[in-house]
Amino acid sequence: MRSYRTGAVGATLAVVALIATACGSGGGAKASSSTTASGAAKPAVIVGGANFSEATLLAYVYGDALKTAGFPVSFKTAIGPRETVQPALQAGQINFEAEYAGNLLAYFNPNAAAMSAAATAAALQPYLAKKGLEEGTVSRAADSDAIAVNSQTEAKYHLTSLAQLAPVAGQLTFGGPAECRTRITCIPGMAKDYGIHFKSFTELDSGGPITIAALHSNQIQVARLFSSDPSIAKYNFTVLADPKNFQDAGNIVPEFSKSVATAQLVTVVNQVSATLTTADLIAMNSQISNAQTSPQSVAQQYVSAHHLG
Amino acid sequence: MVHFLSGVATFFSTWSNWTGSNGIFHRLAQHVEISAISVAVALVVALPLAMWLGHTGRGGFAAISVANIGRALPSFAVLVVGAAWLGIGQKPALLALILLSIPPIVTNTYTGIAQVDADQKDAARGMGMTGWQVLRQVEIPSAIPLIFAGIRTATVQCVATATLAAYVGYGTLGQFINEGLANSLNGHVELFCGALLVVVLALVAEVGLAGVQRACTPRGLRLHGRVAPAFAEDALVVPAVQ
Repeated sequence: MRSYRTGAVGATLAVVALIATACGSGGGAKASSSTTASGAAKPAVIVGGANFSEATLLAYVYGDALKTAGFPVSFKTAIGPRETVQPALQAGQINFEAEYAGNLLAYFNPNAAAMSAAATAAALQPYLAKKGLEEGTVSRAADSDAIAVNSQTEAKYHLTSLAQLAPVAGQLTFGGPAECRTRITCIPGMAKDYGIHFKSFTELDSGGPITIAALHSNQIQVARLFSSDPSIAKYNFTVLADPKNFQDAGNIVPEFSKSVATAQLVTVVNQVSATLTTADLIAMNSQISNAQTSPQSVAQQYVSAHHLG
Repeated sequence: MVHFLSGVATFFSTWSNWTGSNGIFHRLAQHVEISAISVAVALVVALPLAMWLGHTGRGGFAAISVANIGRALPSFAVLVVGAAWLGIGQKPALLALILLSIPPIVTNTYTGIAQVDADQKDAARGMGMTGWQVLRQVEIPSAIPLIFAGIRTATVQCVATATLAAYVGYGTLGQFINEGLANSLNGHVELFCGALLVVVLALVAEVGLAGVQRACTPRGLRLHGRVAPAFAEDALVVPAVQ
């Protein structure tokens, strides 16, 4: 019994040691690469992403550009909402993610006021530095969270803006992901800035096929979608204007660990940010959802067409 | 760890977490309801079919193959497609769970009935039993352990997978898991509590069904002596322990 126990403990220790060395050597490689002045050594990049289609698409756009530039790149997409992805990034389980500037700032500081993309990026900097992270250039391409109503609701109440929603919200059901309950950019923000209180909240996916189907079939009347979603045009949904700017700047910003931030990586990443436009996003999203193409292949085409990396 | 455990204790000892439309009671009731309906429908569909196939010995290979393909069908995919067809709410979740519950019941019931000793069946026919009587009085009682193994597997899978219903707007305990995932501050506590409730529910269902199985198993096939008298009649007909 005793020897068996010792054996088991020994084996466990050996496994732990193996894992530790594996991690250690990875970290070592990263550390040595960042000390190389020219950035000739290329650290292994693990690109992660949140659990909706555009996040996967962006992961592949940035990741493929890095791969083209010669970086060893692996992908961990559709991890979960920001509340799951950010801890993974801070823990080093992933070391690169394409984020949305405003929502990311709201994650770090729920009381941050909504502001321009550049100001948001500047405000983000100290929060990232504290966690050993860096950001690349903010892209012009933007995709904000959008509150949309279906055509029946628009026809009935003639809604164009969130400011008109408060008096009728008591008759409407709102649908969105679970995080809507607590995020300042969703239900709490609408209540605070516009006095909107819906009849009920139905917990669905994050602006995905379930939410779209429910809004289209009028099972919910209002939904949290993404502004670059091609189904908004396809199903004639109306995105409500946000005169009080309760939604943040939805500009895309690359976020990565200091350990992989070589000069070359930053150059490649900023080149991608500079190339991307909102129109590109809508076009690619539409290819994915209407033409049933995979985010991987859409991203690959984009990267090679624009000579990124 | 201590912080985490005290969070879990606080979660369960806060009365407002139990009541209301987002409380444990309501979500638990939804969870039980949807699991019970799914297993019940699966039983109605799968049991007669699998018993008949096992009894006649025909079409078994095809049935098992179809059932196994069904087993490989991802429930989440069924849910998303179902939500597009049937709208959100209980319906797509029921569809996914019924499809999940049928295969283990079909496979186990078919195997249980088909593998009953040929000598037993010959003896039963020799006594003048009709096909129906052979099925009811010989094959089904002998196959009870396997049939119940299938039902128990289906039920536990169903209880665990019913958490997905939260994605189509039908509450269930899965909502605690989704909200936990979406909450960075206190999220792991809520997620854990949701998962814990699911595990407890699955265990309760498992133990309950084990009790029902015991009550349904004829005396001759029991490993331990205690007998529910209501089933003594069946026990007389079934030949000795295998």
